[in-house]
Amino acid sequence: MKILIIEDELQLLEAVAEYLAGEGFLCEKASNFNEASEKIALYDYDLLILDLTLPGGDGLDLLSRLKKNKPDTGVLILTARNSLDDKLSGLDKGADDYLTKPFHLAELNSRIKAIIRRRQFNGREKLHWEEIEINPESKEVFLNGNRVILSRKEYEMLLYFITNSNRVITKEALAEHLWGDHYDEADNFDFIYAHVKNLRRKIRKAGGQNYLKTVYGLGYRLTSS
Amino acid sequence: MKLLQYTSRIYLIYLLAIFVIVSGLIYFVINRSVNEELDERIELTRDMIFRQIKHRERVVSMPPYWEIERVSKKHRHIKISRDTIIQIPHEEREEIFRQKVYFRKAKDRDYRIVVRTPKTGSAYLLLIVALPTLLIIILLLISLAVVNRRISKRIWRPFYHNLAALGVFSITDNTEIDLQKSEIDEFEQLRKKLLQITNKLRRDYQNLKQFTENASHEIQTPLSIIITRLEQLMNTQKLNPALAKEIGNIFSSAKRLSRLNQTLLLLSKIENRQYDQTEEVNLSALLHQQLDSLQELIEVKSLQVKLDIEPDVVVTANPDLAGMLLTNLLSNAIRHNQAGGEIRIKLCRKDLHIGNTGISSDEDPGKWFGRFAKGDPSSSSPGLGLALVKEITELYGWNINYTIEDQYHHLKIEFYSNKIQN
Repeated sequence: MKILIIEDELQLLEAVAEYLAGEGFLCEKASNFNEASEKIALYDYDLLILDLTLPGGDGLDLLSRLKKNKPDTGVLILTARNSLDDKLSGLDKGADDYLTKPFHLAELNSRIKAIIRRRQFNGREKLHWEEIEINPESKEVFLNGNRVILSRKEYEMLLYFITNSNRVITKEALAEHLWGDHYDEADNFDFIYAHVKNLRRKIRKAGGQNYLKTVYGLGYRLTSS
Repeated sequence: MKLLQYTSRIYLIYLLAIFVIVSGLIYFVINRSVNEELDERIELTRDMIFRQIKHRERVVSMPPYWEIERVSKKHRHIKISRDTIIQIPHEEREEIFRQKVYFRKAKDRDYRIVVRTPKTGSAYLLLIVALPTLLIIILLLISLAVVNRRISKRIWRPFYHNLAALGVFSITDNTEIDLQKSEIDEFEQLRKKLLQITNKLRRDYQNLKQFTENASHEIQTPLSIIITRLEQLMNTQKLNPALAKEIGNIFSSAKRLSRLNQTLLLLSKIENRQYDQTEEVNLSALLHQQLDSLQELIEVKSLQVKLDIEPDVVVTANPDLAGMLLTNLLSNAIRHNQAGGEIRIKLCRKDLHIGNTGISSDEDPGKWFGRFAKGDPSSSSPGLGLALVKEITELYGWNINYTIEDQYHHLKIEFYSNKIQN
């Protein structure tokens, strides 16, 4: 999997590249319009992470150019602009998804994997992690071949943990992923705790191990060891 | 009162006053010269009578033109000159006469001589002079009104045009205000000044808009770096628990700051009317959809939800803002509820009512619509949720009302000024 990250903020570019490299992606970086435009013309990528505000040009122009020449490349727009127009015109011009800054790396990772699943396997590929099998098409979860009945949020939570396995997932990132705007920093995270507890119980009941570890003071981590 | 009306009225008043004064003056002057003329005639008659008395000729009175009588001495030197009305002998009419009374001594006899001359012709003369004066004044008035109207049409046209242009001016306009040029210096000055002011307003507004966007961008970028770097740090091998807790605290604060910044940006965007795209939003469907995604949060608090939602209630609003409004209202009703409490939601075409159990408070709940206002000071919430709700309702002219009865909180939004279709 080859990804081109186009972002003018070097520190952010590095952080994203490091994280995605850790997920097994082959990452290339571009920090301005011309550099990005050159790389897009010369090489083929599976996915582009595109910041809209770039020195030297508008990210949306890059998007139009890419979609004309290489329509198979997936695009995730990264924007600090919180404006509806940008999101809409980005999606109109063929972007697969968008993420507003600041974002969680885990969220970025899960969005990227979702785009790749959709683009390359039409969402039909089954996900495997340890003895857990997920069918994204039917949203069914199996453990050693036995169906585990999960609520919708529990399913989304498990998918999120598996796409970000061995990573610390903060309560905030989890809440934001599951509830979006409904989550507020004023809420305590009891509901996250309750949901994680239910998920753990269901996995254990189906014969799985306690994969979901609490990371003290931070959140949770799905890990096999 | 329109300017034209006002000036015309003042002109009219002044002209009438001038007319009265001028007519009086004219009357006075003419009357005086007529009297002088008549007096000359009287004097001619007087001189003739004097001559006849002197030469002892027999002088006969001939009323009403002259009368002569002998008088005692004490009446001498009395000389009266005035107008008087005299009944003409053998005729049934009265006539105004100018009369003068003289006393004359001739051959030791005192005579009182009254000489009169009719003023008939002079009244006619007055009329001849007064009528054209009146006519001139009337013509003057009419021509003044016509000229005024023409002046107003010609000179004031750019003024009224510019006034109308100002009326529809909005600082969100992208184009310069359309002002008409005028030949009049004062109007031209006004136009230039207006152009200058409106251009500055538009420029400032654009700058402000740009500033809020740039500020948000500039703040979110370092925040993104902080957050992503912290996430990287969390995934470092063998992180010691105390350090992990510290990182967690910094992370939470960075997240709070970021959300705060986003909400403030949103508030200023609504204030700056940057959400002017509206469409018909099905509030009923949106409400059900949001309640559905909040199901888990409701369950965790074991809240009872009682719904009375009329289907297909439609309002004209920006769909994002309508969503944000409901999100904030529902989140509030859940967050500030007691465990095992209740939420009651009633939506009809007229209004939306959300009631929930909560804590009783002596505070005026209206205060909570302010920015950074908190019901609970220890809460880590920045207190912008209700400010956002208020801002959105104000944008659409909806009426919002928050009351607390015992431990039950009521929030009611009336869509009365917004057209609601079913």
